[in-house]
Order: sequence, then structure tokens, then C-alpha cells
Amino acid sequence: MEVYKNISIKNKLILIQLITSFIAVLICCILFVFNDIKTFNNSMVENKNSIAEIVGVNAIAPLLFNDKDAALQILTNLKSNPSILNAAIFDKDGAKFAQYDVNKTPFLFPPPGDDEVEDADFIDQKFMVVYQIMKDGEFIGTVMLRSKIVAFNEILINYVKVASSVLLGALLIAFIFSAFFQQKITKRIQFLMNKTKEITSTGNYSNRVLIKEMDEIGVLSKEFNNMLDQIQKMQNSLKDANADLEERVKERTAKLERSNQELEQFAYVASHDLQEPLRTISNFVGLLEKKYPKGGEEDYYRYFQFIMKATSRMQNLIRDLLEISRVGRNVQFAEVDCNKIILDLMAEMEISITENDATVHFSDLPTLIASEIELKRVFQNLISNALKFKNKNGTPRITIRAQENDNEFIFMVEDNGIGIRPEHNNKIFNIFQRLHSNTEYPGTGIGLATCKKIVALHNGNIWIESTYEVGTTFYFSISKHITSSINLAT
Amino acid sequence: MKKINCILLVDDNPADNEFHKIIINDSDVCNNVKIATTGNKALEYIIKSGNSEAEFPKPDLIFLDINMPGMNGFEFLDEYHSLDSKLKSKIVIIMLSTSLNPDDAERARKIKEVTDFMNKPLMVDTLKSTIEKYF
Amino acid sequence: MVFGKKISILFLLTLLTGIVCAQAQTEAEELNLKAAFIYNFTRFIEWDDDIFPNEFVIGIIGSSKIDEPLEEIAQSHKAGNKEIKIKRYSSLEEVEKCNILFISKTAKISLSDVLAKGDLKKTLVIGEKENYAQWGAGINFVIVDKKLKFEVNKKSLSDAGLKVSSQLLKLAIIVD
Repeated sequence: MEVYKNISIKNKLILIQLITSFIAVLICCILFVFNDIKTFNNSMVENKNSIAEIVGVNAIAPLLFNDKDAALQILTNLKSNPSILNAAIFDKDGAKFAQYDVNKTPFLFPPPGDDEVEDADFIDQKFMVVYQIMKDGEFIGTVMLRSKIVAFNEILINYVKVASSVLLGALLIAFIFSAFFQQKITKRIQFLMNKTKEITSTGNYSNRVLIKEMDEIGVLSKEFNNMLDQIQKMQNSLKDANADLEERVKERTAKLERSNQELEQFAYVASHDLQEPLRTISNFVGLLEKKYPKGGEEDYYRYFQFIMKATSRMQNLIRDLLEISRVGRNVQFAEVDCNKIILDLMAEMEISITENDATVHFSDLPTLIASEIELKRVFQNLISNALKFKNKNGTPRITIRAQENDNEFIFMVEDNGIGIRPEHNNKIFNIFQRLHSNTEYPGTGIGLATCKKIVALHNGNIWIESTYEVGTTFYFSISKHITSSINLAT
Repeated sequence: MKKINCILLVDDNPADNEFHKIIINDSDVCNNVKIATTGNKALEYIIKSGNSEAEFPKPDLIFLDINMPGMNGFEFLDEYHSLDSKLKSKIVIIMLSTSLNPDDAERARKIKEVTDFMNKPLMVDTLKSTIEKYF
Repeated sequence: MVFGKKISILFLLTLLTGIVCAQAQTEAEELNLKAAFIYNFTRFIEWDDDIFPNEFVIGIIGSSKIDEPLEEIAQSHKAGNKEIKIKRYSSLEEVEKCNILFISKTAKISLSDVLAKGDLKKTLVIGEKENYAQWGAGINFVIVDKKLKFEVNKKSLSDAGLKVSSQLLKLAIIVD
């Protein structure tokens, strides 16, 4: 069955037609043969019946006149009919009157009137006919003839031979015929098949199929064309939708960018312009504070302390806001040697590093395209955090490493500080997000947010791995592919 | 403690000027404090100060604010540059900024007339150490 | 000795009786057979309808015992569609027209006289004496090999206007 499944339609059709023809012809042959045999048998029987009749008629006189010799003479004449083996005449009482046997061995005829014997009984390729002799309505006697079916086997073999050759001939003709005519159908199916293959491989949906005849294949072709129409329509509307979408995305992006820029501008300007009045407050409150020293009149000192502290905090917030909103305003990308950056930082932060008894290690940092000032800022923030959030017991140890991948550089800044609990992982990169109060650790919570913004500027990501009270490793990636909106410094 | 004769404050912000005046007086590093609220007025004063009039002492030190309406600090310096060298001699110019804009610092560094670049507000100790440093 | 003679005479008598009886029996059988044959002749011979349109007459000359079986046959059979009548004649003068005239061997007449009788021109004359057929009788019964056969004189038959079936002739002994 597996084999049948995969043979071509053309061959299937031919096969079906051959089988059909074969079956049809076979049935015909069988019916024909059977019919012929029956006819043959019938004719034989008729023939023998006629002979029996003739014998019977001729035996009337001998029977009536009791002339057994004459009767025997009649039977003996049957010698001329070689297919007759035995013949017998019985008188009206059923007694044997005369018998003839071709090969001298007398055959035991069943007594006439015995119901076992029917006319034309076929036993063992011999058959018997029985004829009742009547004259003028009077029963005179019975004739029985036993003859062989002449060359039955030969005739049968002959039939089989003829039937076989007819079958073969019919098959041959059927084959030729079907092979020729199945083409008309399978060609069209093949054409359709090839067309489909072609279209799916080239993706060219503009192809159409010619329709000549309107049978099932014609309908299939027509619907095929319709399907292609639909596909093309869908393609086009998809293209249009896509284009439309692209347009809208462009618009939105432009809008967002504009909006973003406005916001940044706003933040910058606001923080910048906020600084000045704040500074004035700070300045003069400071002067006033001097006028009311501690222990002096009323609580003015304490009041001024609160004002000063608040002002100071606000100044810091504004300063930091201004700083973070500065990121990305005038970015210049160039080749940057990270090793040099770290060295510079270590020099700039020397005092702080020494004060905290800290060590900074770095090795084999890459040179890449980045914004130097900003990248330096990232390292600065991370290092200063590591120093600030040091472990009470140990000395801060900071290790900086880098790894190059296909599309990016990944930097790792590892410290042995107080660590960060996993539930805070996402919060720490938010603006002004703090995990501790100002009394525990100073700061506005802008450092990591600034890092995140700078890293995003470089198409990268920043994330951490940390164990509380053991240490933290900050990871950040700098992409090798810079988006076109950034200026590249020569 | 060194003491100089005259400090010229070039700043349009009266609060800042008031404050700086107090600081300067408190630090006792200078005899006269003069104030110019615009770049133009500053230029005028400097020119006038060349006349050696007692009312208009020549400034030894100029604290120059960057962000001023009309003519900002840098624009003033452009004009100042074309002043007579006699007028400019021995004048220390320190630029003051409200924000730590690195671009401003860079730019200031490039101008030869500018000696230093500092953040507002001036405080007594920074003022004293500046005087020490440059005088 | 006398006893012995008596026995042998008795024996002989018995034997004779037996023989006679047997003979009588055989004779009866022969008559039956002849009667059957006569009837069967009617089935294979065609007479002119002139003689008797409604009857078929079989005449017997002589005191033959054949009349009994013939009567029996006549009662249960027809010749064609005619009833069979059996007539006995003791002399030639008594003889009328008939389809068949059976001359018993005991009849004291001569065949030629019978044949000369004008009434009997269309009659089938059947005899049972030797040479009757050669002498002109249409059919003559003979015993051949202990079997009853019949001789046939075709000329006589055709002269009498009788059409005889070939089937019958096949079984007959043709004498002319």
C-alpha cells in the first residue's frame, strides 16, 4: 500500500483502467465460457435427446412386434456416433428389450422410472438421456442413452486459451488507450502541481493558471487563481499596513523624541534656574545663622539649622538632577581606552580611596567607541558607591574586569561591600531611589540612575549580582553598534 | 594676610552681589568692592579706572559671572580682550559659574585673560585662599 | 409286470398331458401374440376409408381361438378412432366386407377362393399357414427360431390399396 501511495497519478489512472478492463473482460469471458458450456451441454443434450427420440420412434414397431433383433439393430447403428457409449431400450413394463455397449462391457442402466435418473444427468463426464416412447398416447417403452462429453477437457482448455488471449489483448488495448488518454487529465494536474511548486518557491504570487476546460480540475484551477488573488491582496494590504505602521512608528518616535528632548530641556533648564534662588536662600540664611550662634537667643539657631539642612538637601537634589539631565546632551563618541579612564579616576579619587583604605584592581580593559566623559562617570559612580557602602569590618576591595562578546563589551565592577537584597534589585536604578536614610549613608540616590542612563545611551544594559553583606558585582554592557542619532566625533 | 585694593564684581544678580560683598568684607582681604551689573558697565568701569581717580580704583581682581543677560561673561571677555593692555595689566580675572558645566570650564581655560574658574557662592575661606594664591 | 406297465402308461399319459397342456399353453400364448400383432398391424397400415367409415371390422374364418384375445383387445382399443368389431365366419359365403380377414389354419377353404371374392378386394388378408404370403395373402404369420414373425406380400398389399409403414416392413419377411 505504501508503494501505491506514492506512484504518480498518471500510473494510478492507468492501473485503475487496466484493472477495470481486466475485471470487465474477465467477467465477460467467464460468463461467455459458462454460457458456452451450458449451450454446449444443452446442444449435446438436445442432440442426444434427438437421437434417443429417433431411436425410440424406430423402436416402436420392434417393441410392438416383440422383435428384439430389430431393436438391437437400431441400437447398433448408434456405433456411428462415437460419443454414445451405451444405449438401451426398455419395454413398457420396464424390462430391458435391447442394449448396446460400445466397448462390449454392459453398463448397468438404472431401471426407467427411477427418480434418481434425471434427464441429462451429468455424472463423471458422462451423461444420460431418457426418452419415453409414445404412440398415439400409449406408452410403448423407454430409450436410455449414455454418452460421453466429447473432449470436454479439450474444449475447456481451448476456451481457457481463447479467454486468456482475449484478456491479454484487451489489457494491451486498454493499456495503450488509457496511457494515451490519461494524459489529458494528468497533464493538467501536473501543470497545476508545477505551477504551485513554482509559486511557493519563488514567492511570486502574481502567477495565474490558464483555464481551458471547466471540469473539476478547471474549478480547482479557478479557485487556485482566486486563492492567489486573495494572497496577493493580503500581501498588498500587509505591505500597506506595514508601511502605514512604519509611518506611524516614525511619527510616534519623532514625537517621543521631541517630547523627550523637551522634557530633558525642561529638566535642565528648571534645575539650572532653580539653583540660583536656592543659592540666594542658602547664602543669606548662612549669614543669619552666624548671627544666632548655638546656645544663643531662643531657638533661632536650631531653626536656621533646619533651614540650612533642607536648603542644602534641595541644592544637592537640584544639582544631581541637573547632572543627570545633562547626560546625552552633547555626547561625543570616540575611541576610549578604559584603562586610562580608570587610572585617571584613581588619581582623581585618590583621597577618598586612601581614606577608606581601599584597593582598586583592574586588568586588560578594552579600548572601544564610547563617550569618554560619560563612561568615566559610570565608573566613578560605581567606585564611589563601593567606597561609600563598604563593609564595616573589611577593607573595600574593588575589582574591574571586562569581557568582549560579538555585539558588546561587558564590564564587571565587583566590590565586597554591604550587598543588596534581591527584592531591591530593580529599585536601585531609579532616580532618587535610596535604600538607606541620609543619616546612615549620605547621597541623593542619583548615582545608579545616572549610570543606567549613560549605559542606555550606549545601547547597553546594567544589572547586578549581589549577596547581602558579602558583596556586589555590577555588570553593564556597552554595545558595539551605535545608533545613527548619536554624533560620532572624528 | 594679603590685602588687595579693589575687587570688581561683575554679576547681574543683586542677591549674589550683596552676599559676595558681605563675604569679601568679612574676609577682610580687600579695601574696595565695586559692582558692575552688566558687562558693558564693567567695561565702562575698567576704562574709567584707568584715570586713576580715587572713586574708581583700578580692580586687582575681577569676579566675572558667566550667565548675564545681554552680554554674558564670555562676550565681555571678547570686548575686554580689545582693551588697552595698560588697563588690563595685572588684573586677575576669575570666572564664576552657577553650575559645574564642564564646557564652560573648558572654554574659560582657553582664554588667556582668565586665571581661574570657580563655583558660586564664594565663601570666606575660598576667597582667602584665592587671594593668597594669586597675590 | 402289469404294475410296471401301468406306471409307464400313466407316466406317458402324464407326460403327454403335460405336453399337450404345454402345447395348449404355448398355443394360447401364440394366439394372444397373433391377436396383438393383428391389432398392431392396424397401427402401421392405412386402409381406404371406403370400407366402413365408422367401424373397423376384423373377420375370422375358421374356428380359431384367436377370437377371444381379439375381443379383449377390441374392447379396450380402437383402430385409429374407429371401434373394432370382431366377426366370426364359418364359411366363405358368410364373409362380408371387412378390414382384416384372418384365415385360421383350421379353416377349410382355399386361399385363392378367398382372394377371388370380390368383397375382399380392399381387405388385408392374414393367414397362418405356410406359403400363404407367396400365394397372395397380404401378411402371413410364421414361426422363425421359435419366435413369431410375419411374411409380407407387398404386391398384394398395394393391390388392396393398403399403405404399409416402412417401420412394419422392416420387421417383416418380404416374400415377393
